[in-house]
Amino acid sequence: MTFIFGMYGIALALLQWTAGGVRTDEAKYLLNIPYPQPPVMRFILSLTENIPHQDLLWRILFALILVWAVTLVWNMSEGLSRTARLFLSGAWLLSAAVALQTGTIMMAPLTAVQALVIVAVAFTKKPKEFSPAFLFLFGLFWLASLFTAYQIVLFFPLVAAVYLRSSISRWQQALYISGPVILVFAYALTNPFILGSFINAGSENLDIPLSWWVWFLLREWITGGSLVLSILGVAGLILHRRWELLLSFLLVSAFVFLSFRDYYDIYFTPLWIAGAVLLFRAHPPRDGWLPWFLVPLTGVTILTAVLLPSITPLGPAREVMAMLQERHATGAILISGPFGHQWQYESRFPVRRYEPEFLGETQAVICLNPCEKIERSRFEKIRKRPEVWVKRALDSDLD
Amino acid sequence: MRPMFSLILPTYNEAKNLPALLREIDAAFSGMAYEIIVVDDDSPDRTWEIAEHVGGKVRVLRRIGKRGLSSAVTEGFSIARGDILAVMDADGQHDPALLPTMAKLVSKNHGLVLGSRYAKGGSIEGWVESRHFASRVATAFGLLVCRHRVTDPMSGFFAIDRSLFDRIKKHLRPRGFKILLEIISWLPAGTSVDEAPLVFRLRKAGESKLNAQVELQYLWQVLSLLLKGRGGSQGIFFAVVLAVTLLDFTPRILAIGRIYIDPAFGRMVQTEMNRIASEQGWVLSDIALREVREGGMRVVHRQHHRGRDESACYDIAFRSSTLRTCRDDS
Repeated sequence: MTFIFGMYGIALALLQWTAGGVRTDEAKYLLNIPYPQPPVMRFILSLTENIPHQDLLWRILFALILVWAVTLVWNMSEGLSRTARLFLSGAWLLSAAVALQTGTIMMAPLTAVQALVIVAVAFTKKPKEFSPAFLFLFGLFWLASLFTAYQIVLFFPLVAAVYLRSSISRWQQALYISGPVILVFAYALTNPFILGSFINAGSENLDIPLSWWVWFLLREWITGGSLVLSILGVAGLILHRRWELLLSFLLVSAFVFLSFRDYYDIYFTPLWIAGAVLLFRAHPPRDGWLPWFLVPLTGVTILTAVLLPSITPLGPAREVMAMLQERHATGAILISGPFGHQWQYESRFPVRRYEPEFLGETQAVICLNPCEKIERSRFEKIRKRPEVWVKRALDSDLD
Repeated sequence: MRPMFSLILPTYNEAKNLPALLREIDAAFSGMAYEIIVVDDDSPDRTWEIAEHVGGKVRVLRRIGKRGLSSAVTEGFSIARGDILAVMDADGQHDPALLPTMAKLVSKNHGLVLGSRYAKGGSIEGWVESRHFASRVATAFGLLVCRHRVTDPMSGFFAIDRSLFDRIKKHLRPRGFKILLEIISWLPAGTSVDEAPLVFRLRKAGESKLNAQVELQYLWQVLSLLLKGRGGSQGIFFAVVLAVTLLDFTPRILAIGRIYIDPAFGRMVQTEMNRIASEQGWVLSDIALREVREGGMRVVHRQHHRGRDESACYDIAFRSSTLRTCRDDS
């Protein structure tokens, strides 16, 4: 099964890769741009900067992490019937949030896996029996997760529940629960852009009508579990009222509501799995019909892929930069108009914002917005959409 | 079948206290199967002789040339015949009336029960404030090696399930006075640990054995348990990791701290960074603010692209378009 899941993950990673290029956020992590996410994962990614097809490598690795996380679902559902466990594992792999983000190099899927680990630990029946060494390692995991992506803090109640139910002393509980959070907050203070981005993320969508916000949140709940798992998950959470799961659910909902990002739907998936496990424990389903529920679940995933396509062509950055690379020129590349980090990622040369006074020291200009004051005598247009101007050979020689 | 209770009384010069204590214990154990083992370190006041005269359920182990409360307890446990092993001080400070409660809890949970001065309902008679404070500090220090949540790991009054003791005894290195601390630090995770509130009474007669040497032994005991990875050592290591990382962040936060304290100044820095980025054609996220001061700031600009990134440090005066390369590029 491990091999089959691996193949499934690799297939989805290749599907993302064939879109050609990287997203702006993916580029930000691959280039280790220190904003806004903390450093652990992006530092690791940046160590492979010189490997050809670096993005493919990480698409595959991230995809494998996401699909092999299904073993956590399998372990969490211990005690349920084999059919129920297979259904829950299938629900993880096939839900829209997971399936459509497998193969992306985003922090959200990674955070979802970390959240699933936390949920799995919180589900252990006898937390009192956790050894101090395990709790120490779990503390390191919590710390590393916070330094991978801030959003894992949404699962703080689950971490707190693990430690509060353990038998270690109060001071150690406080240390393991709060220490990493305080530390990551201190890290955020070292870069004012980080706090700025939090404020922006919370306020940039304020002019959107409330009905859109509510619809968006509902959509995220649905795609988080492809409706079927979402319903089971919500039912389990509400019926069993485990405070740590409910609090995390409220935190994730509030965050998704404010941030308005499609890809945060995956934060719901670990919670839906937890809710469904609780539901099945209390009300064991009839095995006969359970596997059939994967059919509508997959249907919703396919529908989501069609209606809200996340695997789309990723823009011309790779193509344009490859074209410039072939010219073997030197100097910075200027870009006019707002541009994403993918332009930096695809370039082998420094990228600067376009200003006419920089034209003297550039090799090419990419005009995502109209470029003003380009002298046709010194530059020639080699592409239309987007407009790409390169320095004429003579001019280049003179420089 | 009723479980048998073995109570160890480690003694040294307790001849005046022992007879009354044995009577109290006998009254407390009424109807129970028990034995008392007096482990005496060859007391000059011949405590062992008094214990031998009592006879009956009292057995005596007289240790010649050996001293130490912890080793006395483990030697007593090793010759005990009971299913429940217990120990209490022989100076009358521990109330034998607690023994039946402790026996019940051990029988029920097969774990450890300790008489706690700091549990709800417990108290200490006649101590001056400074001694309370010293005891609290020592208790907090002892808790570092405890895997389990207890309020009084330095108590000398406890009972333990025999099979549980047999499981951990190979780890014990009895030294000093605090054998309970050693035992708690080696208890397996998930072991039931209960506390019975103890009213710690005044010593009836004789002198306390607490002195500087005992205190140093205690300090060494806690440190060596920590070095063996017991109890909270992982927590301490975790705290050290956090503290070292925080120390690394602190100078960086302090260097730009003014932008958080003075919002108007923060807004000005933001405007200046936007202006510089625009003038230089820089991507804003390629700039890292390193320091702010009256009249200027220091930034590092790093070109992020695949391969080797170029980075440079600049000192920038507010409202000036001139970039000066940092003299001490730190």
